[in-house]
Amino acid sequence: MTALLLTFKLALLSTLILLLIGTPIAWALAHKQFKGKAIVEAIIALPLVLPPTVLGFYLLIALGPDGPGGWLASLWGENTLAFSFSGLLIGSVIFSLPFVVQPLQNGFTLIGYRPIEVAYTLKASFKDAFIHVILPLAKPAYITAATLGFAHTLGEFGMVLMIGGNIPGETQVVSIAIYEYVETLQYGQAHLLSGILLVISFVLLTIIYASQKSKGRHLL
Amino acid sequence: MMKTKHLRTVGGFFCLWLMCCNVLSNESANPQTLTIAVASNFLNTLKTLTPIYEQQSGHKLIVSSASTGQLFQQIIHGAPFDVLLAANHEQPEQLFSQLKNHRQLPTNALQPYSQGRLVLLASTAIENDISVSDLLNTALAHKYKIALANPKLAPYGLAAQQTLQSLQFFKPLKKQLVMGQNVAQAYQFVHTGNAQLGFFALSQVQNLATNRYRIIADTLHQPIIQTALQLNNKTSSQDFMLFLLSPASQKIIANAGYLPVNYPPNLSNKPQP
Repeated sequence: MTALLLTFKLALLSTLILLLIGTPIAWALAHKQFKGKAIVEAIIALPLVLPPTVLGFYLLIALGPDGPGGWLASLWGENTLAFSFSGLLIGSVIFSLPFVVQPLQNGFTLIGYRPIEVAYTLKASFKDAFIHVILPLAKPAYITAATLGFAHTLGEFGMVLMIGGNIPGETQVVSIAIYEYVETLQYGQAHLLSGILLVISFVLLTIIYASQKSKGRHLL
Repeated sequence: MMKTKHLRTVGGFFCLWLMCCNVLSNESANPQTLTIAVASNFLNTLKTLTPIYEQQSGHKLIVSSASTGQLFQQIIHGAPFDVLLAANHEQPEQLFSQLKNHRQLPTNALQPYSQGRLVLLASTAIENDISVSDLLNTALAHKYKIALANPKLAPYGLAAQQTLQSLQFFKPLKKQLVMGQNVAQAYQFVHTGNAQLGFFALSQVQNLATNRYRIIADTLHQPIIQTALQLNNKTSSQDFMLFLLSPASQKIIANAGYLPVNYPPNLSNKPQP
């Protein structure tokens, strides 16, 4: 059960962070033209195609004492971010980035720039226009992005296996716990956790598909 | 007309299939391929032994490594291994009693092939007068991470846990322990500098300077009797077992950081505090 709670905490925090940093990125990709846009898009999409082991390997080095993560950790007297909840959080934010940015980008593109322009003519500032016009219009995109980001973090395994160190209550997420139960032939426990994860994932995907239908209506 | 055409195609495929079978069986008649499941700690030593064996026998070895617990699980589910080289004796024994009802296994299928030594490795050089307990005390004071293989899956992880328990360090250090799925994965935690200390097999640290590790007294944990299990009665499997236990191989194994098989003679020795 600790593993389940930990996984939810990780997924929730990752999703919040991703929505915060994903919004400006997705907005820029949808409405701005700049040099190297394709490169930015490719970088964001990388976690979709890279094996989690590649990400895990780079993170292990980046979070370690010789990488930026080690420098960051030294601020509070540790020497590595690996094997810590913060390390996992950084990892899963990177890992789930495309799952949040891409639906938002698609949403913003569909909405177009026109609503903002109309709001400008009513003397709204960009901040005003974005909060009161774009956000409500992009609600279905946000629901999809948040659910996908959340669900994808729930399913994270390979990377956590490499940088987590399997510490109960800190880095032993539910997928790792299931793996350990299976490997140690405790099938009862494995069934229980797997079943819970299956149901949750199913419900989340149903929400996504249902919200996409309503998105269609919204935009019409 | 259609029917004959069909028959001809089927006949053609049948001939092709026969030819394939013939080629395959000719190939497997003498030089055979053996699949060895090896506990991670012994992987490097097996890699040293492999070319010697392949040259002597003409057979080819395919090596698959994981923790003993993982391999155990795979074999139970029918993984096609010919020989298991485990890092303990409990799991091969359990497998033997489980498998002998379904498979033809020779009575001497179970053979200890080496005895492992546990070491505590540091990410930097250790001063001469620093003991294992000193290292662990420092780790406690500085909240150092200590890497070990998952004790539920890997015998070296279990030995590490027993050592910490014998030295009364297990409970205080529990939150600082980071686990790899096997002893090789745990090793890279120290290698990348993410953990400052770690418990490994002596064979893994053989190439490092001796001031980087301390060998753990074997009174602090249950002896690590690494046992081989022949998983079928193929002659090639039998052949490999004989090779593994031959004096020449045993010498290579000893040089790689293991104790002789028959040390100490009594397997059921409890660790002395």
